[in-house]
Amino acid sequence: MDPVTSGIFVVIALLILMAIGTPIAFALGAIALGALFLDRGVGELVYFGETFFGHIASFGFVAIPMFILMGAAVASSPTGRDLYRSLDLWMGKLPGGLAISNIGACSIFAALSGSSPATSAAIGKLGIPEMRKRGYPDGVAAGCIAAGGTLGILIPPSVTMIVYGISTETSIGRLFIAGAIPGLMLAGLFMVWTLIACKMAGGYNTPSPVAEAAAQIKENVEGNLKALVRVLPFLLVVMGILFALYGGVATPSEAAGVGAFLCLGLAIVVYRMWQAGPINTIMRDALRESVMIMLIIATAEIFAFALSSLFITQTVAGAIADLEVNRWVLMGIINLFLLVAGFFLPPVAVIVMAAPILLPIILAANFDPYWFAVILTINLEIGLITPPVGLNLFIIKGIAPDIALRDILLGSLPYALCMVLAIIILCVFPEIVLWLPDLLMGPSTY
Amino acid sequence: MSQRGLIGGFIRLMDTASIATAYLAGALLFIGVLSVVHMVFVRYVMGESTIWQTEFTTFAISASMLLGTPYVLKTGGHVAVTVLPDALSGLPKFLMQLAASLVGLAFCIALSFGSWYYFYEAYAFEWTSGTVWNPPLWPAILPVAIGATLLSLQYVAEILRGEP
Amino acid sequence: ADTTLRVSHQFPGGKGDVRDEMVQLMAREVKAADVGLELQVYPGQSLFKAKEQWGAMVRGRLDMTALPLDYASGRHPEFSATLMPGLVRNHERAQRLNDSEFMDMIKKVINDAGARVLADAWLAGGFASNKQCITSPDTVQGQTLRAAGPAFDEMLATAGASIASMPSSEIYTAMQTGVLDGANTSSGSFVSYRIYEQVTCLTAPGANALWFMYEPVLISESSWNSLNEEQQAALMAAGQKAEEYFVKEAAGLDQKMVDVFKENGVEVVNMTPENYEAWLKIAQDSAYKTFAENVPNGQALIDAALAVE
Ligand code: NA
Ligand code: NA
Repeated sequence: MDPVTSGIFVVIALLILMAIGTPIAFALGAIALGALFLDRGVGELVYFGETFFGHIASFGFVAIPMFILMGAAVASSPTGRDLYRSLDLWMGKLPGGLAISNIGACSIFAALSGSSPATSAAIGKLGIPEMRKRGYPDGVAAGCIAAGGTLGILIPPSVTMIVYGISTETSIGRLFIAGAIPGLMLAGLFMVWTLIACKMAGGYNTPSPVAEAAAQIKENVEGNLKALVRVLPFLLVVMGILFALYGGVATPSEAAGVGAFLCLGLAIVVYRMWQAGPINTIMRDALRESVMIMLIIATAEIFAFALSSLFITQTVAGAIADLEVNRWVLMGIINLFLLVAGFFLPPVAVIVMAAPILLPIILAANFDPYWFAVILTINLEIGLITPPVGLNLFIIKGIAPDIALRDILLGSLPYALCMVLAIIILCVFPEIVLWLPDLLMGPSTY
Repeated sequence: MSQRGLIGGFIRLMDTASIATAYLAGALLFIGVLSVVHMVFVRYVMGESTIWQTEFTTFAISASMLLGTPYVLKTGGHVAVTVLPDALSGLPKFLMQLAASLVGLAFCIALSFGSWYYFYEAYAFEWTSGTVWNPPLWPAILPVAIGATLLSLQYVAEILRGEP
Repeated sequence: ADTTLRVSHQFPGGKGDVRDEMVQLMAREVKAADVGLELQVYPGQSLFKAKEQWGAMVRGRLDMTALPLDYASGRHPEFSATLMPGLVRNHERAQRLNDSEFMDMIKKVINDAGARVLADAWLAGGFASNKQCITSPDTVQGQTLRAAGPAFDEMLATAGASIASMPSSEIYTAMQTGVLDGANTSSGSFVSYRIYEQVTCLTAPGANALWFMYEPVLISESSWNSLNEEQQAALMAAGQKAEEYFVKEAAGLDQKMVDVFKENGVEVVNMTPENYEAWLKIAQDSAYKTFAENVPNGQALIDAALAVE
């Protein structure tokens, strides 16, 4: 079978397995094994353990569960609540202020966690019920949390940037820094859209009467300060970790380990969470998400190996490289390809499979690999809020099962357009991505 | 739906085993964190050599991930697209879910077999990691093989439970 | 129909890396021989990961590879001798080593494992530091170094250096951020990872090089047996050409490193025979000793290597 035909078969088989509800990790692994059996014989089974172990046991990937644990320590402590309350008090009185402060809370939490679904979950648990209580339309409430959560992989730390760094042998510290300003910019775009959406829907203010509000303010100034004081140490840890990463003290895995340790310690000390219950919750949440992601990474690697073994990868890469089109047309085609892949696969799986193929093409077309990492990440953030596989959509469904999927999707769509706009802005002004890493780490060595 | 007899007993046994290995997995994750902290301390504070920490952490984390996976399966944490089966009902839905589970199970059995074979080779031929620490490889593979096996058994339990 | 052999290696493809060039040269030669044989090259770990290649090849999953043999030392501890401080010294001696009893012993292990050597290649390397030039053993005291290979780790630690283990792709960042003071790797890697931007002093291989690594082109025994005599002969001839090509290039690689580092304002030094002997003494008390204790014929291997003129 020629590579093109076998490639089409592999993709169709994968889509069928996913459609009938096979967990994505197992679907990727099963197709990869099936393809290897057909190509190389059933004897491949004997080596499967070694291949799998080789892909999961890597010191670089160690950073992923640790950054997730760091986020879980914060999410399971009342930090999310404190953060949320402080922002609400500052912003709650603007039209749409609550929705905007939710996006702000997502951005701050994104700096504490490496994962997008975890960011949506941490802020959404509080934010969605609160917004609905205060009369926000379901679409806005769900959309701003789903989209705000996607910032988790753009604002450092980021699980997907780690995978990109390992797949392409680029500096993970530099990738993290590259995501910071675009992350804030995207958060800003989300806020602007939220304001417009709320204006269009008639504006949303805290509906409580004036007197009640005045009393609340008096009571809350104190509470607010206390809440801020409690959040502060976590923010300091994160600032410290980011500083360690680019300021010359540690590798990503080291920073992740120390960060997880400190945040776990802070949750225990600041929030007195030393009972078995809360610690259990933190470890359980961290384990559930990291196992899910790591298994997808490992099986996606095996899937990528099967594609390479069948010469599908090389054929596709060759075809793209031979296109001989304008570099921006090429960039457009690559983005379209990523967008479609993002509909069906989680970001880590797309990066594992696509980044090693795309990087040589990107470099040949004279694009910066760190700039491309940010474009790729924003593109895959769209995938997090589009069906059929949208990790953030699943989270929203879990928090508010009664909001119709249609409302969630319609509410999220404008945010997806904000991301497209962000990609266009970054294509026109690549300095937005490159300025900070160049400033902090000197020019790129790629 | 609670089941009686041998099948019910098997399901309950697997549920207990999965929770037990999840605790072990959590402990290994934490141990991995501690060994990174130890490495950072030794390297940056004491200024001494770090020989074993990166490998040890890697092995602790890979063990943690595989030992945690039966629990994640049990609690529905492995992401899947269930739009199509959810839209169906009755026999078609059952068959579709069964097919999906059997594919998943087949993968897990293949992974278990491969991992045990790799474990056997590493043990029988005394393979080591080939680094300056150079520990034997089999203790790192064993938890992966056990985790994959429990994952397969948990999959069987999920199918028997009738809610695959 | 043509027989196609899959060749995997970890080095960048089509960018002039000498090991990639060796394999590409063999592919061209075999094709030109017109014996119904084709080599399909997968560079840059695009098929197997660097450390998976040996296992895949001896089982016939992969037909050919070009790899640092030390990567398989977890399975065949004898291979550590091919990345042992001070066993080679310079390129001329590497040539003599190829036809020695030492290499016969190593190749016997390779053959018994299910592979055979098509082309020999010994790459030299050096040390670089941004703290102090690394010449005599006392110059590494208090420096945090990343060494390529466990035997070097052990020797450097014995001399008083701190060892930090990390993948080679992290060296640049680690040097830049001060995690490392220096590193020890091949001439090619020093240039391709642009280490010259981060260091003040390079210890070039010269006539007294401590660091040499064996990176042969190998074929799986089962793949070899599946070829007809004509194809085997063509492959052997291609291997011979690749080896000759490598010998011509090897010294050039070191010179290129020296030139690039000098152009970037890095001081370049060599080890004196006295420095070399002092290191050898330390190696004998550390890495050699461990090797002799842990590997059944370890002492015999070391003796055989040192016996070469
Ligand atoms: Na983040
Ligand atoms: Na999607």
